[in-house]
Amino acid sequence: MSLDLERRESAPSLPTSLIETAEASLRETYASICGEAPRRGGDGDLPVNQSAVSGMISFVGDVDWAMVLCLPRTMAVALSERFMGHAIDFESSDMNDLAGELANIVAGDVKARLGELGIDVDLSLPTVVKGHGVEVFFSDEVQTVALRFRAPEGDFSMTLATPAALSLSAQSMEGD
Amino acid sequence: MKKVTALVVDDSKVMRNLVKQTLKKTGLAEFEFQEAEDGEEALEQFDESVTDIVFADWNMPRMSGIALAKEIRTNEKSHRVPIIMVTSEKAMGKVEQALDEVGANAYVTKPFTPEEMKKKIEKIIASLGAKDKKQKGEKSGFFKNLVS
Repeated sequence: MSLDLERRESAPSLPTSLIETAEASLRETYASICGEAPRRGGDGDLPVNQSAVSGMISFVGDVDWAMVLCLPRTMAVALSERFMGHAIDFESSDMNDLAGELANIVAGDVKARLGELGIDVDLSLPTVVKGHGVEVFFSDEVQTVALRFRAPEGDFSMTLATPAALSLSAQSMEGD
Repeated sequence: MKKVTALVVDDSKVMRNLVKQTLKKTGLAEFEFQEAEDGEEALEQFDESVTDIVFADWNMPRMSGIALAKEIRTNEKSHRVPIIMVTSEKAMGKVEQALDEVGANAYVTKPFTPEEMKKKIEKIIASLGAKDKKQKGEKSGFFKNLVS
């Protein structure tokens, strides 16, 4: 089962400022953990047949939207080692904690940056889903963009969606 | 090395472990830990005669770190126990305003390093030391345990 972050090419795009803000937050947060910011690795789906863990945060306030950080298995384990100082077993509940926490940290930075632009938002607690063939489903009305990143620890993606009406699913799914 | 008991409060076990690990790396003291998953559980764990310092996550289910800090500060016996908020909030104005309102001593933003954590604690030690000197009263438990 492929890891699929669905993108609606026909839907209107998200505001560029929101995408740039989220990307800047992700790059800076990643660099503060790993010492090096990830590169943009092109938009669209991540390649194939991977287990992954995804952390989702909703933003509610002046702008309602959501952010999903999707970490394939090998990447998530490598990132856990950089963040914690030791690798976390992908199958453990600690990995769910980690994915939620990373999404939360990025979201905290996004919130601050939006605040500087005069946009006030509150954050939800993170929702985490882990499994094989993780997919993010959006309705046709939802505007989305999936950003892929490449780092020494592996490839991963961040999907942005507005309004915040999306659901996560995976085969062999395990969630918090 | 002095022994200090830290109450680490976070709904994420990973983050509790990270805080504990980071505190050990500061080298400031020999830390012993109490742990709780939210503010309510923290209040059950909290003991002003044992707990020297509290590290509380900002956002938690049931009872947030801010609500926990408020509760701790309302108790006369525990009002001087240092509280450090651990947060992914980076809107500093709002964070500082909230800390002032509940009387938390400091905050660290995630992700954090041992050096950052050490600086925050040293700042609290200096602040408590100055207050103790000014008030010529009994030193706070944390200050006694961490400073010779």
